[in-house]
Amino acid sequence: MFQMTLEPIPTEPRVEVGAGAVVTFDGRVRNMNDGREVVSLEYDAYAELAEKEGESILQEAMRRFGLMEASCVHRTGHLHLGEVAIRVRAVAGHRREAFDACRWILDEVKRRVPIWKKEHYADGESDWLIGESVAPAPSEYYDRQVRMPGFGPEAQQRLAEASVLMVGAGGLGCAALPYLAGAGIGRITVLDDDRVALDNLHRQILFEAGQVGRSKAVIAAERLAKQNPLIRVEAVEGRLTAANALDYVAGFDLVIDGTDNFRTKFALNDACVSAGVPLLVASVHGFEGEIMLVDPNGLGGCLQCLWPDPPEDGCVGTCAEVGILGVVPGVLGLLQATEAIKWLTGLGHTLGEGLLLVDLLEVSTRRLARAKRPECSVCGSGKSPAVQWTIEWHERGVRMLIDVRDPAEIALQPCPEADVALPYDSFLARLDELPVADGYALVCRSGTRTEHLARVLHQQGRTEFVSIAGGLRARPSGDQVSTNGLPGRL
Amino acid sequence: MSPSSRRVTVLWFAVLRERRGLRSELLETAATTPAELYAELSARHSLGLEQRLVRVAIDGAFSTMEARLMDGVEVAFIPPVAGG
Repeated sequence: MFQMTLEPIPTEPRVEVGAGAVVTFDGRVRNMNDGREVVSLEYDAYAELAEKEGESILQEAMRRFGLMEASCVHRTGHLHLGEVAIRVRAVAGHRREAFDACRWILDEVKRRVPIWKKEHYADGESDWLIGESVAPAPSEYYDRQVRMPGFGPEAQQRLAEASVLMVGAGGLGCAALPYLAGAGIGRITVLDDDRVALDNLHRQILFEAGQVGRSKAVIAAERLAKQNPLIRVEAVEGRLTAANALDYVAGFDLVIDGTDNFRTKFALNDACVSAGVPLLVASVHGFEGEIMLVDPNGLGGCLQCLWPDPPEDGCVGTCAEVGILGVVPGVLGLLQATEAIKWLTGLGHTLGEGLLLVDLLEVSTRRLARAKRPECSVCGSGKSPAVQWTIEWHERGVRMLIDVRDPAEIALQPCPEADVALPYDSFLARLDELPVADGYALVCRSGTRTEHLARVLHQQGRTEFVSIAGGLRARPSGDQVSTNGLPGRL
Repeated sequence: MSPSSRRVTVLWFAVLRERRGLRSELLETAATTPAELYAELSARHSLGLEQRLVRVAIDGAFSTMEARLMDGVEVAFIPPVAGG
């Protein structure tokens, strides 16, 4: 709208008569960032330092642009869409200086003032971002560790490029996480669906008494993001189960188990083996603890090699039942952080095929050698059978081909041979909806999801499911695929 | 020591240590496998943890409950541990 008027135009605070130009900039909370839908924002600042640094930016702007006035106000706390996050005002004799100064002040504030921004997304997740705000110099932040003989910038770079999933922000996670963040692991995701309780605080040292009832994942992620603004930290408020574990672990360089129950530990083991992601498992009991590395490519096998028949929860009591001294998961969590850093940088010798037993009452350790069990149902020959495209289907009596990919994936690359589509995410829950058949072959993009589904189903005694090895990627091109291999096609 | 028995050191961990009330013990047994040894000790001390839930390590390496027990070995019985 362009308008001419005889009425005085409303003005903001008075300025001196020589001020020919007043530029005010409002930065507001908008609904999108980086392609993700944002629902609200949180700003947190180290107020004393922020105000001091902000004041020096304004002084510098006054000198640099010959301003008559300069001011800036930045919000903290929780902001909703449309609210003003920052207001910058520059007053000068002419418009050019005023515009330039306003822009310069804004950029400097984002670059230099220690303000952390957290975005809450429409999908329920949230992220602390460094944004363009204070970014300490990596060379200074990591100086003491890079100096260590054998470490150097190369090891630091490997950490910066690494991603770690911490499953559980309990006693183990609270100890491991700050050191992982401090060491500069580039992306850390904290997964936990639990909330802080008063009887957690003696061992879960990232939380405060005033935070009872709040999300552990969120608080832990906030702490880590403040501790090291050079890394990316994500909080995921979710619970890992056999059905969703693969989605959570896929794509990480390392997964750390900070859970306190067998069901989750074995689901994690299964998913990590499927996805080819190494897993650091630790558990504690009284004054004792144990830690091992499940390396999908190693000789030591997996958690299920040790326990072919996973123990049920409750068979030996939990922390809630038998009690725990806070420092015990602390020590084991620190060992996990140490092993994680070593594994990701390639420094020293990791646990390898060992299981380390730690007895803190006697201050002793004992390392037991593990070996892969060739017939293991998770990592050995006992895993669910996979079939190849074409010929084997017939031999194995496969009657129906099920595509477990998402509708969007199927739309991009249809699989004409598929009889039914039932997406991986809801597969186990919707098993009853499948048409009756003597057998089922499952297909996905690469065979990872179907391998995992077939294994879970086999463990439940549902041996009529097989996975197609390599998924659609391994599908022979064109007419080499014979649907004659599907005698009972419905 | 009778010709059919062997002397072994048994190490207990976690919940088994609590129930046995000992970290380790030196004993003489007629058991020829860890399974027999565990059954014997579990009955004697009312350990109350099924054998299928217990792992065994012999001289520092995980082994099977059916392995042959030799004289002088160190046998560690390890229950599952889940706390975190």
